[in-house]
Amino acid sequence: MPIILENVAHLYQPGSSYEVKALQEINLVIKEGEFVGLIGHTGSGKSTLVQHLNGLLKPTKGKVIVDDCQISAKKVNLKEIRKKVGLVFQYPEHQLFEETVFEDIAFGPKNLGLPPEQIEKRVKKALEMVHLDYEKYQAASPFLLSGGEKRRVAIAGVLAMEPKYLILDEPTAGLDPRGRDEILEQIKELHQQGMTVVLVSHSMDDVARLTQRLVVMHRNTIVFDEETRKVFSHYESLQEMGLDIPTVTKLMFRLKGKGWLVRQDVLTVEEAKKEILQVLKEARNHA
Amino acid sequence: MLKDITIGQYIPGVSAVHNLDPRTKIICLVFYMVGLFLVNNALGYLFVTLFTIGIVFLSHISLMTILKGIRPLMIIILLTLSLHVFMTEGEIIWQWGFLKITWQGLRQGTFMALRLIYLVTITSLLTLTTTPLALTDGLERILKRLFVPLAHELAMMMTIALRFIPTLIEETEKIMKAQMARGADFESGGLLSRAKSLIPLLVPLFLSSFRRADELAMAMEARCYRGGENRTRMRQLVMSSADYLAFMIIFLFVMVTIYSRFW
Repeated sequence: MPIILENVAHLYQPGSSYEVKALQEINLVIKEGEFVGLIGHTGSGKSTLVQHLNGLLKPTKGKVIVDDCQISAKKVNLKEIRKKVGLVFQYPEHQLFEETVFEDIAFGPKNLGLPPEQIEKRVKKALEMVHLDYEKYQAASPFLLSGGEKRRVAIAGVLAMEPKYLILDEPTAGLDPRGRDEILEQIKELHQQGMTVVLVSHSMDDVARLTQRLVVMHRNTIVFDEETRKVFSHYESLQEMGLDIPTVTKLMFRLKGKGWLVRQDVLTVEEAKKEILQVLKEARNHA
Repeated sequence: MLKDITIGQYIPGVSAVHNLDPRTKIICLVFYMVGLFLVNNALGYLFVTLFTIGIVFLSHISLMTILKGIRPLMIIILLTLSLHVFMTEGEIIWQWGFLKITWQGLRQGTFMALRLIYLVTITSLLTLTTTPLALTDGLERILKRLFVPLAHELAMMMTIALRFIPTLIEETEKIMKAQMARGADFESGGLLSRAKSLIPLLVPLFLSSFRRADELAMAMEARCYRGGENRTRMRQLVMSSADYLAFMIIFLFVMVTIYSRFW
C-alpha cells in the first residue's frame, strides 16, 4: 500500500503576520518498493514535505494517507505511522545522545516497547545494514566516532525501527567523497532488500545514479514528477530554477550542441562512454 | 508551541518611543519603577495607569502583543493577589471558615497586582521598541558611566544570549522532531517519565550549544576581537531634544507620584 498526498498545503504560523506558505497543491504517490528522489533548491519545501510523510507536521489543507491510514484523522496512532515511515533528518548525528552506540540505536526499538532480546537483535541487524561491526562499535561512545561513522550510527538508529518506508533528508551533506559514496551504496542496498526509499538531495549526480523516479520541487510545489531519465531532458527549465543536471548529462548536451548525434538522456559515466563510442563508430563507418 | 516565546522580541516601527535613545529608555524605566513603587493610594494608581496607557499608546504597540507578554506571568500575579486578599488583617467583609477577605487586603492585593502588571508592561515595552543591539549598546554606555568593571563584556554576553534565543528554539524543535521520528514521546506520561524523556532532547542540545559557543569564539578571535579595549563604534549614540523631553516628563512623573502620597 502506498503513501498518498492529496492536494496538500502547509502554512507556517497561519493567521499571523509571519504567515509563510511552505507547501501548496502537493499531489504525490509513493508506491511500495520504489526508489524516489526528491530534489529542489534550498527553501523549495523539500524538508517540510518530508515531515508530512510521518506525521511530524500535519497539512493545513489536504490529506496525507499512509497505508490507508489518514494522518490528520483524529484517532490516528502516530507512533504506528512513525514505525512504518522512518525519517532520517539532515545531520542526523546531532540527535545522538546515549553513552554507547548500542544504547543509542536501541532508543527507537525501546520506544516501540520491544523485549530486550528483540532489541539486541534489531541493533545488531541495523549496525550490519550500515556496515559497522557490532562487536567493535556497540560499546563505543557515539561522540568519539568519526563524522561518517556517527552518521551511520544515527541512520542505524532509524533502521532499527524496521521501517517499511525510509526517507533520508540530505544524508550525504557535509561528508567527504568517500563517506558519501559509502552511505549512498548502503542506501542502494537497503532498496535492493525491499525497502521503499525516498532520497532528498540537491546533488543531481547522486539522485541520477540511484533513483528510478524523480520529483522536482520549486517554490513550494512539485514541478516535475517523472522517470529520472526524462526529468533531465527539461534542461533549460531546471537551470532556470537554479538546479543543475548530472555532469555526464551536461556533457552530452554540450556534445549535441557541437553537432554530435548523441542521445542526451544519459545518467552515468558508463552509459556515456558506450554512447560516445557508438557514435564514433558510426561516424567512422560513414567515412 | 515553542514559537510563542516572546522574550526579547523586537517589533520594528516608527514611534516616539521607538526613536528615543536606548540610554534614555533604560534610565526612564528605572525612574518609572521608582515612581511606581512610591504611589500608595487609589488616586496615585489612577495617575500611573493613565501615564502607562499614554506610553503604550505612544509606542504604537498593539494591546494584544502586550497582553501576550503578561500572560505567562498571570499565575504569579494571581498568587500575589490572593495572598494579599486572604492574608491581610483588618476590617472583615466576608468570611468562610479560616478564609477571610478584608477591606485592607483587597486594596493591598489590587495595588500589588497592578504594580506587577505595569512593571511587566513597561519592561516588555522596552524590548519591544528597542533592537537588541541598541539595547545592549545603551546598557554598556550606562554601565561604563557607573564605573562597572567589564561593562563591555557584560553587554556582549547579553547581546549573544539574546541573539541565540531563536536559534536555540529552532534547534530544540529540530531535535525534538528527530527523536519523535524514533518514537520518542514528549507529551504523555507522568512527571518522572516526562522528565526522563527530556534527556534525548537535552544532551544533543547541550552538545550543539557548546559546539556553537566554541565556533563563535573562534570566529570572533579570527576577526581580532579582544573585548572592549580601544573599541570604537560605527553608530554613536546621540541624545536629541526628544530625549531631554522624555527626561523632563519622567522627572515630572516621579514628582507627581511623590506628591500623590500626601493626597
